[in-house]
Amino acid sequence: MKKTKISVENLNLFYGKNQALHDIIIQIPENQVTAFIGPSGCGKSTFLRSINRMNDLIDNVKIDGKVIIDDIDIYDKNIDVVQLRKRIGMVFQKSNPFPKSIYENVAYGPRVNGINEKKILDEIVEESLKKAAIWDESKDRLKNSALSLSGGQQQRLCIARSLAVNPDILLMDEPASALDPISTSKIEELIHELKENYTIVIVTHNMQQAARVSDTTAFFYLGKLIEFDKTRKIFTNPTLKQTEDYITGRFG
Amino acid sequence: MGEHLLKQFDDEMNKLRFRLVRVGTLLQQQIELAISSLLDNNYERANLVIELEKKIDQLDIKIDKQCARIIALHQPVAQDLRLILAGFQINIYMEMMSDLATNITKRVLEMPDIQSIVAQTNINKMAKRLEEMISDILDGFVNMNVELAIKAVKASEDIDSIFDDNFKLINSIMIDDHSLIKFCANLQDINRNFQIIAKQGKSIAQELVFLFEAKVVKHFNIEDLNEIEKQEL
Repeated sequence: MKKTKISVENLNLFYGKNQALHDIIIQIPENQVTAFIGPSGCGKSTFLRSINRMNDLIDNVKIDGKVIIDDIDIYDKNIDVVQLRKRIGMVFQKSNPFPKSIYENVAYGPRVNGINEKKILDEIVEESLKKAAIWDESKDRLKNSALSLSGGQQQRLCIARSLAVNPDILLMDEPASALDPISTSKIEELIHELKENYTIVIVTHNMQQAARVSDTTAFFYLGKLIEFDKTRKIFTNPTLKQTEDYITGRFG
Repeated sequence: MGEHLLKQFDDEMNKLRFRLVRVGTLLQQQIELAISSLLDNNYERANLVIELEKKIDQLDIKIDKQCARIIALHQPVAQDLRLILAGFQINIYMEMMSDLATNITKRVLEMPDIQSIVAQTNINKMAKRLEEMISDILDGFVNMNVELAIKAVKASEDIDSIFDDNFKLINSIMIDDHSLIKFCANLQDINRNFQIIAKQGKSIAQELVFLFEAKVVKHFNIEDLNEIEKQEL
C-alpha cells in the first residue's frame, strides 16, 4: 500500500448558502495518479481547487474540515499560501502560457523564487522541458513566443512551467480535453512518466482517460464522494450501483 | 440494469443477449434431438440435428462480429464489459457443444442398431442429467440467477461420474461379447462426447458466475462454490 500524500478529513465547502462539497473523506496515495470523475457540477473541480487553496480566491467561500499534506493541515491559519502553491503545481483545461518566450515561461517561477543565475536557470529550463516531454520540439526555439506552439505543445509547456518550481503534487483539471488524440496521448504518456516523482490528481470527463492513466479513481456525485477505489476495481466491478450506472453511461 | 444514455448501445447489448439466448435454445433443442435420435432410433431427428448445427454456426459468426463491434465503438466497462467477455467465451463453447451433438448423431446414423446396447448402460441417465444442466444454464442466463449457474457447474461433476460408470459398463459388454466391439467403440465415443458437452456446459456456467458476480471460478472446487452460494443467500 502506497503512503498517503493528501489526507482529507470531513471537508465541507459552501458557496454562500449553497453547499458544494459534503463531508469529503479521502486518502490520496503518494506517487500515484488519482482521477476524479463525475458528471458536471458534481464538485470534482471544486474539490481539486481545495487541495491548493485556490478557492480562497473566490468571494463568499466557506470551508471547514482538514486537508493534510505530509502531516500539515493546509487550512491552518499559519500556513503561507504562496509557499503552499509552490509545492502544488496546477494545469488547467485551457493551456495558459504567458505571452513571453518559451524559455521565460519556464524560468518565470524559479526567478520569482529568487534564482537569477543564468546557468542555473538554463539547467532548470532544460530539465523541466525534458520532464514535460517537450524539450526536443522546443530546444531550438527557446526564444520564440510560447504562443507560437501548438495547443498540445502549449499544454506540455504549462506542465514544464509547473515542474520548474519543483512541486511534489500536480493537480490537473481536464488537461487534455481541448487537445487532439495524438496530443492527448502525449499528455497521458507524460502523466504516466511523471508519477514516479510526483503525486498527480487529475479531473477528467473522459472515462477512458481516467481508466488509462490513473491508479485510483474517485467518483463524485452531487458534491459527495460516492466511491473511491483502485481504478481497475472501479472500472471492472465497482462496489456501488451508482458508480456502475455512471461509468457504464446509465445516468448523466 | 437501467437504460443507457445511448439508445444505440442498449439496442446492441439487447441484440447480443437475444442472440446468445437464441443459440442457447437452438443448442438445447439440438442436444435433445441428438439424445432422442440415439434412444429412439429416429433418423428424422438425427437429420434435424445436422440442420441445427448450420444455424448455430451462422449465429456464432454474427455474435463474434457483434462483440468486436461493441468493444470498438463503445468501449464498455464493468458489467457491460463482462457480458462481452463472457459472450465471446459462451459463444465458442456453444458452437463446440453443437459440433459434439452432431458427432453423436453421426454415430447414431452409422450404427442403426445401437439402441439395444445403449439400453444396457447408463447413457439414458447421463442424457437426462445433461438436459437438466442445459436448462439450468439457459434459465440462469435469462434470469441472471447465479444459483442456477452454480447448480450447473456442480451437475458436471455428476455427469463425470456417470461417464466413468458407463465407460466400465461398455468395456465389460465388449469383453463379454467380442462381436459387439464395433458397436461398443462407437458407444464409448458417444459417452465421451456427452461428457465433453457437459464440460463445455460447465465452462459456460462458470462464465455466468463471472458475468453476474465478477468472480472467476474457473478452477474452483465444490467447497469454494458452496461459499459463493452462501454469500448469495
